[in-house]
Amino acid sequence: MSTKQSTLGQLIAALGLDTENEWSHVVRERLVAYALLGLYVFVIWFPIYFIFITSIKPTSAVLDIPISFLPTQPTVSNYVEIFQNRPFELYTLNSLIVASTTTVICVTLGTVTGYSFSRYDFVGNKTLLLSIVGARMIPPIALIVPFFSIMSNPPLIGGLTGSLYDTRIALILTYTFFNLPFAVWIMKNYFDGVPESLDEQARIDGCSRWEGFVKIILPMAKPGIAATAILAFIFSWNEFVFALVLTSSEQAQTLPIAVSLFVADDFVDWAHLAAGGMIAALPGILFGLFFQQYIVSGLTQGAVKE
Amino acid sequence: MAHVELNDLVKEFDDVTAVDGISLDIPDESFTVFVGPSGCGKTTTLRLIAGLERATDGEIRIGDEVVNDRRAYERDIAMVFQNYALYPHKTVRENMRFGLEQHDTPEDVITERVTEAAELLQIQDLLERKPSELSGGQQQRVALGRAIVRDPAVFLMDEPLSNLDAKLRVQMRAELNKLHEELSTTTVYVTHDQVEAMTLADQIAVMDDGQIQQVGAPTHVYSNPRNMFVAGFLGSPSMNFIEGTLERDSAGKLQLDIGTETHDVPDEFDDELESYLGDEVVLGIRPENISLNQDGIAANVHPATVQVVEPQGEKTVLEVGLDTGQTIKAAVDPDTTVQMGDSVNLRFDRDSLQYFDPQTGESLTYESKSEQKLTA
Repeated sequence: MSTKQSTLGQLIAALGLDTENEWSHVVRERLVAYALLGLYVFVIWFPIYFIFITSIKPTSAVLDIPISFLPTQPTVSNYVEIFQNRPFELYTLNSLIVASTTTVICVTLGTVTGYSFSRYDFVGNKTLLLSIVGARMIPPIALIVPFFSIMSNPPLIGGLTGSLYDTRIALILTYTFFNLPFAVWIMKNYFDGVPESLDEQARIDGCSRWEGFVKIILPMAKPGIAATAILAFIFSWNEFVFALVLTSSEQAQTLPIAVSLFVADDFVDWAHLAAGGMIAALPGILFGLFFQQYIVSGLTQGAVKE
Repeated sequence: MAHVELNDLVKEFDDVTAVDGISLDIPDESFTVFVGPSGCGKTTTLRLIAGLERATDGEIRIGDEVVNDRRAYERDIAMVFQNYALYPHKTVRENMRFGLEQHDTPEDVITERVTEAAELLQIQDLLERKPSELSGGQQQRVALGRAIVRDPAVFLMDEPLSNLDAKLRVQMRAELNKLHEELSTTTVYVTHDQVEAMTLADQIAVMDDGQIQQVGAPTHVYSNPRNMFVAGFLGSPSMNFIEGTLERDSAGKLQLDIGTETHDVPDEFDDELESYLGDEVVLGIRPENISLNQDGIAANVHPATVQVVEPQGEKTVLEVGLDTGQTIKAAVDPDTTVQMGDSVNLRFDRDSLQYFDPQTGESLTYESKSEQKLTA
């Protein structure tokens, strides 16, 4: 006991604290902080954990009472079955095509447009930028009917006919509409943080404006590009409402819709829903884990003067 | 190497005229410094020469060719920016190579030039580092190195030392001097720091309001300013200006009535100043041309009271109040024992007096002083 007390005393002295009173106060503060953080982490991760556990339970065990929170008879049958009984490979492919195409379009156009807004002082550039970003301020729900109407009867251009309803193109166009303003905004802010003297130095070194952009400015904008890409990809991958309204079959339906199809009027196929949900959630979780550093540095670029 | 010629150069941004019809000849191998306060148009002039801005009017010649319509990289210039503008994602070596690669220079020439420049600037050890791993002084050297490897006809430098601390700035200033001595490349340099301008330049161009106020050798411009702006801008502490009315004393000599006392005008200025008889005239005297007179009142000795004493090491700057109420500065011997509140007699060195027209600011004695200098 006395050894313990003297060790504590040494520790208190080492930390530069005056009294044991102060020490216990610090400990209490820390405990409260950790408890709150722990609760937060639990609230975030528990649903994901629970879906995972459910996805590896045999179908018959899913609704067992009491609920088991640990895998007692782990199985991959749910994962195998959703690919066997339903065209999950098509849904996944649709999601991949829609999300990656949207991402490529948004990053390409967003980067070039953002650079122009950052560097060129043309008439009306502020108004244009505001109207581009402002378009994103409209609540998406207000646009569902117009989008449905446009995609079902697209304006005829160059003699093209036909409906875009239930096509991946409809989703790609819609998601581009929602993500491009973000992409332009992020990239414009990113380029604003890159000194213009670098463009000028490139011009003196023998680059045209385009060459200077590609060879000098673009490589410096990688974090901004990464942030834009991740946001666009995850948005398109997760989007549900427009996908529900604009598609009706596996030729265009994406994973979120596929997962929702496990909910029938009088029955929910929990085990398969959980397996589908895990597949749908995976890219988001992986992207988040690996690229979070880029998201932060990409979004905060130019916020402080270095 | 080439000379640069600016003819009636004008640059307008919307309603603002940044460069207002300047003409200047920058001789081959010279080190010309544009100096002036912020917004005087000096950087814009440099950017016009670089091809980063298009002239609204006028002509820019590099060598014998008009380059107005040429792109920056076709002008055979290299520029050093205030923030160095090193490519952050490239190593020092890649930074130095980039311009040469863009010009399709053969590999062996690139390697040779980069090695030579790195040796010249003593940055051999830094070649594989990224700019973010370098100190300010090292970044500065790399920026210079990148300009040197290009072996351009003209170096353009936009306040390249202003981001360095005071000690490093003095050191780099000396190195720039040495570098120019060695390479003899025509250099156009922009700064707001008059000490930099004085120490580096063969030719100094003082700018204000988009116009060149005066061009010449630094010492000539310093001792023979063409107008009150140049007189006040060059020199620290700056020139004192004392306003008075020009009149003749009973003996017929010109003198300036500066309130409670008079100041005798040296005879040699009789011709220039005669037409101003009865008018206001400004007397200019630099602080270092004022000394403390021990022998009591004599010609051009003015009684004053010491208000502030600022020892600066090599000199002591006094802020003194004349009996007329005006405050002026005097730079005196650092061994002086005067203290705040002391009464002193100030002697104005008669060879260093300048007279200006208070309306136009023009020097009334510029021609005559220039001639004196030439005949001497």
